[in-house]
Amino acid sequence: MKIKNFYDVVVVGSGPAGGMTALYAAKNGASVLILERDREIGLPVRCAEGISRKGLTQCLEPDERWIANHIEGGKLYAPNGTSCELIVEAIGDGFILERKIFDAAICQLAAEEGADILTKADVYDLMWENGEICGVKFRHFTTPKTVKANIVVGADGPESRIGRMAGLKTDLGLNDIESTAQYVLTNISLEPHLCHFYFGNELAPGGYAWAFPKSKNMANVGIGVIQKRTSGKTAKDLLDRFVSEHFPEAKVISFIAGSVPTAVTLEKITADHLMLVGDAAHQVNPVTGGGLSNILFAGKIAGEVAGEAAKTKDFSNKFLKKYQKIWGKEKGNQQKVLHKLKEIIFNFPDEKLNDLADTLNTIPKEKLTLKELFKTAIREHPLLVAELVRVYF
Amino acid sequence: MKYRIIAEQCDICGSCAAVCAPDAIKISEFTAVIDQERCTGCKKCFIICPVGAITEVNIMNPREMSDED
Repeated sequence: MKIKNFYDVVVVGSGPAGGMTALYAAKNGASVLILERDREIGLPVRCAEGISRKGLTQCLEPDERWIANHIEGGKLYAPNGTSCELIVEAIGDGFILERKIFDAAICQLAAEEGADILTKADVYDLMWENGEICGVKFRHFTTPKTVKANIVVGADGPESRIGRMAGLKTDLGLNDIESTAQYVLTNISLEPHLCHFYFGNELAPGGYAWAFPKSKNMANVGIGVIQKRTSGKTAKDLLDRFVSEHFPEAKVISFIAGSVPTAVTLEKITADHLMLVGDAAHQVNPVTGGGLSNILFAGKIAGEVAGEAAKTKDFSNKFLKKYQKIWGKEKGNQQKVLHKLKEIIFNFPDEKLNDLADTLNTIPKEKLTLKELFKTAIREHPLLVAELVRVYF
Repeated sequence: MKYRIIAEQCDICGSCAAVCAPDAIKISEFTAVIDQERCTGCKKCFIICPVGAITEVNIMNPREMSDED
C-alpha cells in the first residue's frame, strides 16, 4: 500500500459524501487520496439506512450486495395511534441499505478509478503555504505524516474539523441539531415493506421516532429529538421508553448514538483549495433528517468540480464555488423551504397532529404524495405560505 | 460551570464537538475530551449529548475537574 506525497484531491472522511467526491474526482482524471479516521470504512453505522429509489438511482446503480430490504411505502402514526399509509403509487419506492457494505462499495468504485485509501488516518491539522491550504497533517496509526494536495475535501461529519481548521464557522445551533439514538432490534413484528414514522410531542419533542425494517423481523428503530425541548431527557431515554411501549418483546442487536444537522447548508462550503461535503456542509433534509440522497448528489457534483479544477489547474474559491452554485440551484432553495417547514411541523400540538392524521385519511391514497401531505399540514398557516413564497422568489 | 465527559458513557459520536463554538472538544478513538482552557461553559454540549455522557463539574473543586478518577 503505497501513498504518494502529493494528490490533486485529499478527501477527509470515507462516508457516502467523501466516497462519492473521491469517485467522481477520480473519474474526472484527478489523483485522489481518501483518509479515514476509523479502522474500517462504513463502521460504525450511524444511520437509519433508508433512501428513495429516485435519490439512489440518480447517482448510483442499485446493487443487491448492499440492499437489505425493498420498501414500498410509509406509515405515519399520530400521537393517539391513528395511522396513515403512504402508498408506493403516490410516493415511490425505496430501499433500506446495509451502510457498512454500501460505504465500502463506493470507496471500492473510487479505488477502481485510481483513488488511494488509508484507514486509521486521523487528520489533525491543515498544512498552509503563503496563507493557502496545501495539504493535511495526519496520524496513521500513531505515526505523524503529511500529504500535500491542491484541494482538501472535508467530508468529516457534523463536527466538521476540516471546516473549522480552515476558519469557516460550522458549529450548529441548538434548534438545528437532532440528537439521535437507534437500536437494531430483532424479535419484532412490523409490516416489513413499509417505513414507519411515529410523531408526538411527548414521544419525540422536535422530531420523530422511526422503524425501518431490514428484514422480516429486524429493523433500525431510532429516535431524533431537539434535546433543548426534552426537559433533561436524552435521545436514549426517549428511545428506551418508545421501544418498551411499542416493541416490548424486542431483543437488541446493536445500539448507536449520534446527531443530525438539520440546519440549512452553510453559507460557505468552498474556499481556496477547500470543499466541504455532506454533514460537514449541512446538506441534510431539515424535515426528515434524511441525508443520503442529498449527500450522494452533493458528493457527485463536488467530485466533478474537483476533477475539472485539477484539469484546469485552478483551485481558487472562484472556481470551486461552481459546486456551491449547482448545489444551491438544485437543492438549496428546497432546503430553505424545508427548514421553515420544520419549525412549523415540529411545533404542532398533539391534538393537531391527531386531526391531521384524520384529514390525511380522507384523501384518496393514490393522491397522498409528500407534497399533498405538507400542503394539508400548512393549510392553516397562511402566514407561513407567504414566508415560503418569499424563500422561493 | 464547566463540563466533563464520562468516557465510559461516551459513544464517540461527535455531537458535542458539532455544537462547540470555541472548538474545545476533541474526539479520540475512545472518548471525546473537553479542553478546559478553551471551554466557555456555554452548556450546549451538555444539552445535546444523546446519551447523557456529559456532566457538570464545579470549577471550585479541582478534584472534580481531574480526568483521572
